[in-house]
Amino acid sequence: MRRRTVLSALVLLPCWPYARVLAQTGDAHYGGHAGTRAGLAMSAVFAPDGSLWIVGLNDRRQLFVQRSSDNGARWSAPRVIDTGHDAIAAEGENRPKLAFGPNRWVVISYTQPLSKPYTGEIRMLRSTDGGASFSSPFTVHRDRQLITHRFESIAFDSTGALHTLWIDKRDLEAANRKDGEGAYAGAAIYRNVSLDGGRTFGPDIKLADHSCECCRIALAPAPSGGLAVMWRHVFAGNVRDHAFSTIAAGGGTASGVRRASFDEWTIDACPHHGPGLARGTAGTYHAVWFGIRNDEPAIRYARLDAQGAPRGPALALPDAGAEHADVDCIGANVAIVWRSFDGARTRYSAWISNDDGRTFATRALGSTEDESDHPFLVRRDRQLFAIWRTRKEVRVERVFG
Amino acid sequence: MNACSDSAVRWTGAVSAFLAVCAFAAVAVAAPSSVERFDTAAWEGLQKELSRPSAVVFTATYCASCPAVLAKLSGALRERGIEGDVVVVVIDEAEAPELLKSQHYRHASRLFLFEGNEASLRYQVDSRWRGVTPYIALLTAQGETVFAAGTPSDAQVAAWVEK
Repeated sequence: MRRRTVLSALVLLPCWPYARVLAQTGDAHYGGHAGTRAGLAMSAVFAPDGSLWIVGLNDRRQLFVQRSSDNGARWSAPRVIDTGHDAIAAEGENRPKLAFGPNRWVVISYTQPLSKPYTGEIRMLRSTDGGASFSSPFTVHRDRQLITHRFESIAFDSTGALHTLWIDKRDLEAANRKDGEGAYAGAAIYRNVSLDGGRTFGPDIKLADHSCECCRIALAPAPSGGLAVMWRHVFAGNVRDHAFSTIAAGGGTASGVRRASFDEWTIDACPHHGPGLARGTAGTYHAVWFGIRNDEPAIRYARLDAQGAPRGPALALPDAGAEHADVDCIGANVAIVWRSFDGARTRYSAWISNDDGRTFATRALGSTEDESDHPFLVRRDRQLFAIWRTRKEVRVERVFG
Repeated sequence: MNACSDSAVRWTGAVSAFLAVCAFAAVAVAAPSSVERFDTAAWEGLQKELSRPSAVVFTATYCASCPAVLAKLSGALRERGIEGDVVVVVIDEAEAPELLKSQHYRHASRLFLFEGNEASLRYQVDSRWRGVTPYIALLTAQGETVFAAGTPSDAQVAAWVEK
């Protein structure tokens, strides 16, 4: 009996430091630390009335919208949108988004991180009065497992159907349960469609297995009126190149998956660096992406054919530090914007082509010493604007038109 | 089975349990109890402070492959009886209390969170780093700092601890 008591004490003794650590976590030294830092990641889009809207988080991590009637010279006061108790991801490639549809429909989406690491739900708020008021947030997908549903992208197609696509790990989780860890590479791209501006949604539909887990999904209007989709994919051998698909207008079927980039970048990691995609002329697309090819990291640009296959060589942007590029075009005028940090300042640049992507010239857009978000392009009719956010302001630069 | 062998089995089991708890406790002791700021001075400081070999793993809350890397690196040190550090730096937006609760960082000896301009902090660490996680700085006994993006290979790990 005595021996047991001594043994118990010996067994418990090594646990003492652990108990001490648990106690310390209650008053750890993180007061005033990050974790209080609100993400700068935002989105912008022109409304049907021509005003420019942005959506993001304020310093108190509240979702807000703001609008400008003069292309960003002056802004309305920020309007905080009630999202209940939702946490909202707004950093890097995970950002709130805004889309205008027909019938004065407006939707805002974001990823709500949940209690377990890597988990989340795609949340949405809808407006039926042009953004004057918004509903309470609701979850877009039917699957409610405590797993990854993150990195959503949204767009209305030409028929007014609202498409939501996201990165989803339900197949990974199922494979892990069935065959053990490592049985399934990456995550999957899922989607659904709403034909009534976000009031109701169709079923969750898988677009592709084996997507990368943490990169944004690029959407562009397709010539048919549907959408083109590009995402970082996990090809055989852990090659993280890009894949392409199209979705028919009105929420119809999707095409097969086609490989769109050939960097052959083999890596078991999170690049957190998704592609950009724009509809070009004659059924083609313009694409930009980050990858490492033959040990050379670069943002590369290529034209893609209607099925998403590269047409011609991929061109590296003329900036070795370029990251998080976006692309858009007005006819044969193509613009690529990106940011790079030179050791002192973050520089925003554009690569401009007036011949449908055959030749380019570089244009400096601006720079900041401040913390800042990725740049992206927004279009209004025949005009194209580059936009990015710093801690102090939202910068809007006219690129075309 | 006689009484003597019964007793031996019981003692063997007890000692095994004791050792298992010790091993558990050793890991637990290593778990960080606070989140430190990774600001503009942190990287230089870490390179001076850390014993070598040690590793600094830059991670993000969305990086699902990162916990396995932490386990691999801390395991490599433990297997060889090396008292090096595996330091974790979270580069994305995160709540410090949530990080401390996470089991994913239990293999880390210290836990940091980016504070300030993320692009600038990345550049200070390595100007070629474009935000991929895990991004790993392997600090060798010879004073070198070798960077690896993604899960390091067994050869990279061996070179780090045995160099």
